Amino acid sequence: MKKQTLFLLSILGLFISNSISYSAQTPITKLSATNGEIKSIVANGGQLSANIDVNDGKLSNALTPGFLIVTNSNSQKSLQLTATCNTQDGPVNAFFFPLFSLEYHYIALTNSNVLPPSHCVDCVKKFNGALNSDNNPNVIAYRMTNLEDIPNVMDVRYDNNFNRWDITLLKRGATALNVEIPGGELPLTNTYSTCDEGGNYQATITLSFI
Amino acid sequence: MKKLLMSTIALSVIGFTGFNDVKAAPIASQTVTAVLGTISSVESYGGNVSTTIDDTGSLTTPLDPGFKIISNVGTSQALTLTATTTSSSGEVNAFSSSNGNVYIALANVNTPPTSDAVTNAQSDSPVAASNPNVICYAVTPPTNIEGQLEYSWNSSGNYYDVNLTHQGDTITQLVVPATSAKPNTFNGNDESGSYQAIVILSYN
Amino acid sequence: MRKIFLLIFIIFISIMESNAAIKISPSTIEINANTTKKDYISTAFNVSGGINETIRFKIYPVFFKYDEKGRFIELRDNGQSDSLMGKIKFYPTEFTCQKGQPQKVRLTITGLKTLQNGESRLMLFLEDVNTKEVLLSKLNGNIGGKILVKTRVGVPVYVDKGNFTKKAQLVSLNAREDNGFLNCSYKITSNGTSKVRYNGWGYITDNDNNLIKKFKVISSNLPGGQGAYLEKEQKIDLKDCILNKNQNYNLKFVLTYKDEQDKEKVLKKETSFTSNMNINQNKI
Repeated sequence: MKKQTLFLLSILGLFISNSISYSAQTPITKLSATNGEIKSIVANGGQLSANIDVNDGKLSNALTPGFLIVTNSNSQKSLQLTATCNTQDGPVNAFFFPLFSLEYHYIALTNSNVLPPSHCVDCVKKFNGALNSDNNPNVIAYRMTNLEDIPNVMDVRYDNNFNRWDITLLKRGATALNVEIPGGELPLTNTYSTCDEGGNYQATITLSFI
Repeated sequence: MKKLLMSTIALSVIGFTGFNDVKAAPIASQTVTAVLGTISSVESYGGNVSTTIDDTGSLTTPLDPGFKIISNVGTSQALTLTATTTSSSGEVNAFSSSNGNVYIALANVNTPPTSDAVTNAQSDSPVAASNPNVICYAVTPPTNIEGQLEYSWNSSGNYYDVNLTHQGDTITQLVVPATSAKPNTFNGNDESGSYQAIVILSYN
Repeated sequence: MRKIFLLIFIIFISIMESNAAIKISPSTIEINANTTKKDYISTAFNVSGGINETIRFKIYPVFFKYDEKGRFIELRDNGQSDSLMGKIKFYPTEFTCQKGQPQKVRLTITGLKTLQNGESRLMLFLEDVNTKEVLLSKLNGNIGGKILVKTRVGVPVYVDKGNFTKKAQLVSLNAREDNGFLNCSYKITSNGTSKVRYNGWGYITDNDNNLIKKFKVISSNLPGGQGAYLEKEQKIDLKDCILNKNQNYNLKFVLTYKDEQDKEKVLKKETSFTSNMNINQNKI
């Protein structure tokens, strides 16, 4: 009886001592992981291709490149929306806002198969518009849908000096931004004619945090 | 076990941080593409002229049917300017060349000439009695437009080859000047009726 | 003269009015038969007439080639191995376009398995069925006359099949200054089985390699087939350049084309010429 009791007590003691020893050998450890600020932009689909009507230059459908902005920061963030089109002299700014236009901004698309010289893009961007269609072969310009402020989400402003959109993001999380070049509208006057050779007319639109 | 636990936690933290770095690209681009096809077009375009022929057979004013060619193709393009007229055997070539000049033959629609009569009128030495109901008039060599349009006479086929090297609209015309008929192709054997030729600009 | 003849030729067309218009897009059909395992392949193109017209079109095929000057040559169909005659079906064969509305013409190339390796072709011509009759009037009731104006547009149809190749060589380049113009002539040959579309630039430099003028070389299509070649000429206006009489200058052509793998190939050739006159010397 005594031996059984002693045995049980020793087992109990061993258990307690093990318990005590666990508590004594493993101090409380505080785990921490630092979550950095996230600023991410990804291309987010949209309609990226269209056909041009050979008769009048209209786009068969709207072009709507999309972006998804992700941030976990509560503070305002600044972004820029820029565009370039390729020329014989390298990429040039594709956005422009001619003075004759009261409201709308435009984007120039250039023929990637037959690159125009950069001065042809300049002809399209003149303050009073292209004067005639002969001086801008392989460049076609289209109206864009203006970016608009979205309350509590983003403020937008067109920078006339640099011909780009400055965006202030007001909220965290994921925010979708779509750019639109409407379909079914005539190109900017005197930017489309049969001087424009067949080919793929392109511009590259970039959204970036700054 | 403690080491295993701590290692697991540490790896999780590192992994989480690394995952954020891969996704957090602050810039993205999209390229939009609008495809423009090629276009070829040709149409008749303006021209003169009303004229009469006096009783010596001379045109009193010139004729100049015009054409407009529309193309946005970047490579040089081949066209042909041909003419036909109707003989009793069917359509024959209305253009001919003799003595260094190009002529167009107009045939009587009401009383078509024989093909031999047309051949005679188009020869270097026509005989008036042998070419009734067909009259030939000299054609001015079409004007080249430097860097855009070039004509060349195809002597084996008796038509004009036209080389287009211009995008956009190109206007051209064929001129039959106000001159007398080709000698020995107009006389009293040419009966009353409607005299006709068809001028064709073909984009090939 | 037994009768007094009065032939009247009158054309009543205002300078702004257009008639007998035929418009086609695309202007060339290029098909790669290797993209299908079937024995046929289909495609389409659009036809339209003038905006204010009703035009009836007819379509018919013609075998052809372009010669060494790039001129169109109609060929009799004798079952040549590079001919698509008899292997094409198109619909509709005749149709009416009203007020500029386009009509789609669908075509199918059949018997792909019987085509030769390399390029085959034909031309589909669209022609206005009703020629534009020019309005004429009769004077003194004797004789009226007519001039009919007609237009037609051809759509070249090319089919590449099998192991076709696109290879070109720029074999010669010559230049001669003449009265303020530089007459450039060059020969480009092909030993591939499919046509090559080339374009490029010409550069005029002095002996110190200073660029005097850069100009675009007029693009052309070089036919495929062994021994095919083009001999082309191009006139360059030198009036915006400063050249010295009796001085030597260099002309360089840099042409590019895409081979059968769609890779860009470059052709270069250089020559020299002597200016026979002072050009724009008063600008120095």
